[in-house]
Amino acid sequence: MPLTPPESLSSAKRFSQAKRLAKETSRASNPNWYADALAINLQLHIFVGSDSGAISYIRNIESGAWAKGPNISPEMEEDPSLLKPVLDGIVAEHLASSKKPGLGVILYVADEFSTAELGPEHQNPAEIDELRRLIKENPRSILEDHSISNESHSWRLFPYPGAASGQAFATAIAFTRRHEHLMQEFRDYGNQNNLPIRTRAISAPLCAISALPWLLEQKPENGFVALYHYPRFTALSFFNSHGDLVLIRTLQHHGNVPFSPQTASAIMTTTASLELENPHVFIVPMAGASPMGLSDSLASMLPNSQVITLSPTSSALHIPTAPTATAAPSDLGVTRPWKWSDLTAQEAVESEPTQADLPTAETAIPGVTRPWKLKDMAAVAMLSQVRLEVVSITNPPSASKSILAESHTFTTLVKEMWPIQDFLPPSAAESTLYPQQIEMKLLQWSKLIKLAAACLVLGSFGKLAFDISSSNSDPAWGYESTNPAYQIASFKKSAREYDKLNNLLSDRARAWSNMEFLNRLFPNEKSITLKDFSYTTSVQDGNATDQRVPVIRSWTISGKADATGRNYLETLNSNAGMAKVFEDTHQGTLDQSFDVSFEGRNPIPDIQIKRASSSRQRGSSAAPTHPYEFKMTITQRLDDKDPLTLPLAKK
Amino acid sequence: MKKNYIQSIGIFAIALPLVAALILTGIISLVKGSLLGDFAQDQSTYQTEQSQLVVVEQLKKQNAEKQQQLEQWNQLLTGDSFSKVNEQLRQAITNNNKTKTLQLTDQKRAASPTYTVDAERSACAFEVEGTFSELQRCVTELECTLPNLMVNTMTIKPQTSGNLLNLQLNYTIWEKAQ
Repeated sequence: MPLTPPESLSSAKRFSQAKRLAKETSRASNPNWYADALAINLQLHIFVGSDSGAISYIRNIESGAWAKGPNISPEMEEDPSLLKPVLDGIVAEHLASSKKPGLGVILYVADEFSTAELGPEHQNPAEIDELRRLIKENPRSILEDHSISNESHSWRLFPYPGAASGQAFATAIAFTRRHEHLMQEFRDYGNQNNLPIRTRAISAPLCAISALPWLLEQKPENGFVALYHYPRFTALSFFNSHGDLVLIRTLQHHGNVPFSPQTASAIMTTTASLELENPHVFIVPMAGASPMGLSDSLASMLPNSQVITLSPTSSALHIPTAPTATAAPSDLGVTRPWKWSDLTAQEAVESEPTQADLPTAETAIPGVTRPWKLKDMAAVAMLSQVRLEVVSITNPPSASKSILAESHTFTTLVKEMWPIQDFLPPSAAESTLYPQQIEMKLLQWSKLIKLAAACLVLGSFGKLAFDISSSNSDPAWGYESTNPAYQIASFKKSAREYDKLNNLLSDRARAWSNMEFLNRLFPNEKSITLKDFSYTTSVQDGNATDQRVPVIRSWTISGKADATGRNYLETLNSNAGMAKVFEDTHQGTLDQSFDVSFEGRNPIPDIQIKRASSSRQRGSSAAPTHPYEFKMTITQRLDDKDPLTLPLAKK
Repeated sequence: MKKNYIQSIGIFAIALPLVAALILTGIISLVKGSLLGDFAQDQSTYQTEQSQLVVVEQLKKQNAEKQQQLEQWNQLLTGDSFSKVNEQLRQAITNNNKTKTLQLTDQKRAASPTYTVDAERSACAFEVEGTFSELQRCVTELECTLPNLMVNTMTIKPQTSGNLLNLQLNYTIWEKAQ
């Protein structure tokens, strides 16, 4: 898929390119595109030790299986067409049925190893992070030797955790860029075939140094020197009495000599400068058997030191079985950086496998003529089939259970992953060409956002349709007000007017009912003679309560009476007696003002009776028929809640 | 590591669909507002008025019963009240004068009562002579015909000569504002 660097694209075209990548590749769904090469389930470990080619191993983390890999010839590095059938074979044999295929390619380079010292102005351990960045971008700026090349070699820092004050705290490791093209070819194959291929190029001697705890169970008291003998060079690592690394030196093998003749003198001068007294010297032959004469040469030059040759493929190597699969830790589907310490070693295998255990199945990988597969890493190591460097990378030193692994050096190396630094990572241009995992995830999640947005729009539209439909069928749709409130107000106004007139026109003070009252008050005409009758309605607007005006009705009646009449008058001179006449009048006239059953309406009579003055003057000869004069006053109040009260005028 | 795509993905894959959805939702909301208008208010008005119409029906029935009475009262309370009283009084005297003794001896407009009652009013005073029963029948007819009369003062006295009674009446006449 042709891709354009995103920096040169407009925002819309960048988005289009990202979408195309998400659609046409598995970058959004396969986390292996963003995993570390050592974290991918299927790994191709390639060891380059000389110009004659490279040996390789295929490792499957899940099954714990190791298999012999194809030989990577120098021609393959030049011609991608030669590499293609090899990778096609690996895919066909190991990844055909994988749902999320991926291949981690780990390249161990042992055909060249050299170090360089940091400049005197860069000897501050506190600046290590900054120096680590600078050595990748511009190594000349921090190295003592300004003639070094960043074109032919890649440079990385490597610390000396045991360095004393005043000694160099780190060194620069040079790594040839000769194999950069091979790494690029692997990644290109992956991009062309939609197969995640992640690469990591590491320095084999650094791995061998980190594998030391697998070789040494105990820590020599006087410090020690580990001598790694490779075909083209010898790497010397110096450890102090605490088992901490203080220096690395390299001795190149010039001409056809199997080892450098300056090896012993180099060890002598260096241990003297490091003040290591009679340190043990461990020879680790990394190119098969130890070169003839090396051990004797060292023993004769260093008479007070023990010179011991270790075998990285002997049964003394306490390497456990393959580590358990590392669960790829992730956060919301985004892969977190892989840690060497994520590896967990399994139990060591005690028994040595026999040749009978070796399967002989055919293989689809070209160049693999004698295939073998083993599920036990220790057995593989013991059969000299797998390099120590490969074993050490897939089993961190902490899994060795050696005392040496607990030293500051090895814990630091594991924690900060110094030995497995990638010397040939993808270029910045290659890395920035493709979206990051979080960007692909964002693109994936955006589908949900689009779905949610579409649901929002469709939901709103549906709600609109539903509302219109339900509104149309609602009787309130298009309803025109008949203004019933106005009608109610009108009716209520009419009712208030009715109530007001009904109240005004009530029988409050009628002449005819008063005459009937008079008639019923004095039913016997003979015993009482009336002289005067007067009635008054008094409207007490000054005593209004609750907007109602009380009314006081009063009657004044005067006349004459005989003894019978007087007795009768006295029966009336009580509230009960007068109330009885009022009630009688109410029954006869239905005039409600005489209805004394209503609270507060009881009439209050006051009857003054006296002997008539004319009867006293005339004497007894002509006794008058009505000798008594009387004056009757009756008062009745219509107030408080009485319906016969009148409405108070509004101010 | 530099993320070259995140901005364009953020714009085109996230922000743009969201903004488009919000705009479309806004347009739908506007269309809804335009189509449905004040339907919610109409619904509220409809429900309120439905319950009010029930009340209207009840009030209409009650009002129909009272309306006829109210019209009669309005007719009664409008116009020249004194003339109406005078006319009805004369009619009542004529109708109840079997003994030919009943007669109107005095009539006049009286001073309007000064109390602060919420009703228009005037007053009249008159004097009639006759027998008790004829006087009672006369005022009964008068007050039944004109129930807007309220007695302010009333006096009955026998005549100094003869057997007839003098009835003096002072009425408040309830009226309606013209």
